[in-house]
Amino acid sequence: MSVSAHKPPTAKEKRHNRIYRARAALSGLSGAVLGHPSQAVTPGRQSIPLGPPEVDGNLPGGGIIANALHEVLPNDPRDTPAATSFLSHLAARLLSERGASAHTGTAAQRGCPQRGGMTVWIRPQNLLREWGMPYGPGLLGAGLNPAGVLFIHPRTDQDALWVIEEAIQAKGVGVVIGEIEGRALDLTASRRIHLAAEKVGAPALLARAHNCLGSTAALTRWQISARPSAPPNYSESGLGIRRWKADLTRARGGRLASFELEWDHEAHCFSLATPLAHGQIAPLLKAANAA
Amino acid sequence: MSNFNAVDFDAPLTLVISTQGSFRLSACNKAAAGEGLSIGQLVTDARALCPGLQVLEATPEADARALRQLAAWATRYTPWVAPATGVNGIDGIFLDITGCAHLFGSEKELLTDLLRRLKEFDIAARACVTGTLGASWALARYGKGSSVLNRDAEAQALAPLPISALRLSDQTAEGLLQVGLKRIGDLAAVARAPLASRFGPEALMRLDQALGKASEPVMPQILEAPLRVRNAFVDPLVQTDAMVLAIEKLCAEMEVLLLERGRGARALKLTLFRVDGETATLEVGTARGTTDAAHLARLLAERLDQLSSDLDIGFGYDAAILDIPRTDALAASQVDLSADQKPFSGDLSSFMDRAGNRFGWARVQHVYPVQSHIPERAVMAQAAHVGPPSLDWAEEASRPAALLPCAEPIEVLAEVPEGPPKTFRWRKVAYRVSRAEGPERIAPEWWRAESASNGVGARTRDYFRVEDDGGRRFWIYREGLYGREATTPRWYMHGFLD
Repeated sequence: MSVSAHKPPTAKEKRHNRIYRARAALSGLSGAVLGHPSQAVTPGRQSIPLGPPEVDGNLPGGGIIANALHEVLPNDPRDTPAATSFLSHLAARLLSERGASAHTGTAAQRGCPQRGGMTVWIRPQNLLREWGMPYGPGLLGAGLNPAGVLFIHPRTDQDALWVIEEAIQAKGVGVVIGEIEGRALDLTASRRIHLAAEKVGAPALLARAHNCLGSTAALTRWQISARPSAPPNYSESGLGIRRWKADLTRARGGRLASFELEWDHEAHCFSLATPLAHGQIAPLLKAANAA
Repeated sequence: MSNFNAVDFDAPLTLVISTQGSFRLSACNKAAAGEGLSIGQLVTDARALCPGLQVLEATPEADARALRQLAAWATRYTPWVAPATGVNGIDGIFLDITGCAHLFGSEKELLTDLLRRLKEFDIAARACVTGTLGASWALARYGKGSSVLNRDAEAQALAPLPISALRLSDQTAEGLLQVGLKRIGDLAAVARAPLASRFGPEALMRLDQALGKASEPVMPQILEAPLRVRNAFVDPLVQTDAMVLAIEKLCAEMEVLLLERGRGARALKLTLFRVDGETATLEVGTARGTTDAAHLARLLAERLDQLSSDLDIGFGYDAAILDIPRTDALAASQVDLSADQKPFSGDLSSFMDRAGNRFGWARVQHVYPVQSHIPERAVMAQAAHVGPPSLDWAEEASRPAALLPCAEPIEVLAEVPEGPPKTFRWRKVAYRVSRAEGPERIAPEWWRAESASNGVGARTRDYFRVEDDGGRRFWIYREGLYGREATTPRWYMHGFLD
């Protein structure tokens, strides 16, 4: 799949950047913040690399900005579980990195549910019926400790918006996962959530329906679809490591791109799956193994 | 006869209690005693003696409750008051008036005052002032009326009383009667050693207690004032903002009370009194005992806000009472020296409280592992305020990331015997399986009643982990073994693999 390499910015982008720089200078003078993307990447912000430099290079600030709103949505309704899976891995990545930097590795793992704080997972009632309940033993596989997750199942999307905003502002919350299918999450609502995240510092990860492509205040938007996995070493027909196609369709201050990603269980981060996805390489490897 | 209003208190009246399969009299009034009825008699015998007898059921718990209340009232004479425990539960009140009698003049005057006030309450009472609890108990019930006795008079007054005046169990009293020891004087006169060896320590202990040879302290009932603060307003409140201010004031007062007692509030009840006598009640719960006034006020204010459409303010509320019906001991909390945010810090539980009170606690959950192989039973969700989450999760690689609330039937289009399906249809969409792992066989839990009776998990399941040609991953199972449990096994979709 095409990995967009570090392309030089086009003329249009350059012009835009100039305008935004001018605005940034202005806002610095007046003390007001004119919401431009590139400003979002102020030096004080913690940005968490996802893993492969090819991905992080496209992201504003070289990773996922911790105190911001990020959106994940499936390409197709049938890809919803894949998107949820991507989301939970993203949360696990944010938590472990935030935890590591906050406690510099000395935190006692036992007795404290998650190093980076509590995960609040907000899944409204209608989604619970449709896509089930996140399953404890399986969450461990996704890198989230179920003991560190607080599940909230609001009745309506309005309630969900309220609780997402409250959760972001609560102390001791490491990451907030909110799932909202309906149209309740408009630009204003997403802006509120983004501002809350920006002010207080817990990352907000929102899962949305595949057709919610309207404007948003989110810093990044990922469109996820499932991809066939590579067979594991031990079996031809077995299930390999779960693979996603992640389209970065919105990245304020970054570059749009598309990746094939896998979860690297050893490094606890994402890794690029592209080299193996090419039809030609797999047989070559097989031949090499056979020889 | 159950209607209390229809009772004629001057005619023979008895209370009955069911003991050992028969109804016996537990109390009778003067008229009934005059007819020759006695306590302990069978109701049928009593009715034969006195045909017009009125019979009501005794309520020992209510009696005990009333006596406790009366004991609380009696603290006006002495702080050292306890409900008296006789042979059959609470049957009187003990007052230790040592050092208090002079406040009322003398012991005699205290007794007179007490009896007069009780008479004004319409309570028939007998009371005795003596040196010991045992003597008081005996003389108040079996003596010649209310009196004050000094130490020497006590022994003389006790001697002619029947031995049942010593608060003896029925068994001991009966045994003593059989050997002819009918009066307390008789008992005091016999040799102690044989008595103890024959009837056990009880009789002698009670005798010594009555005569003041053994100590028997009064264990006072400790009355704890309820956690309650009240506020009456000069003008009735009609605006929500004003009510929120009032709530904040009440909570600030409550915080002081809670801190004094070292208790944290687990539940709050705010009662608002409307000018016309109507009341409205707001109730909220908390996940952890808390004393934080700001947090409590916020919970109540949010509840008020939620209810505002249902709340008929009318001409306004002129008083409010805040009660704490349930508390926890307040754990000593460590002052945070570092700037780190700790998990389970106060704010997380306050967030949980607010979400729990807004949505209901059933919607704010932690999940707990359960020892079971049936996947849907291996996890239990529980309201987050019940306790902290469990930490002993075992990693199971083959488990899905999400489990459907009920396994959904799927239509298998191309089946391979004993293997995973080639294609299947779920929610009206066809999927072609390109990769599969399995089966993982999960047998029913035969030790459960439902398993035996074809309920949930009554059949063997063979789970397969499958991936379709688009990379979507499912956890599906076949229910029932070929040939043994089902002729045509059915397939179900159960979850989504990571």
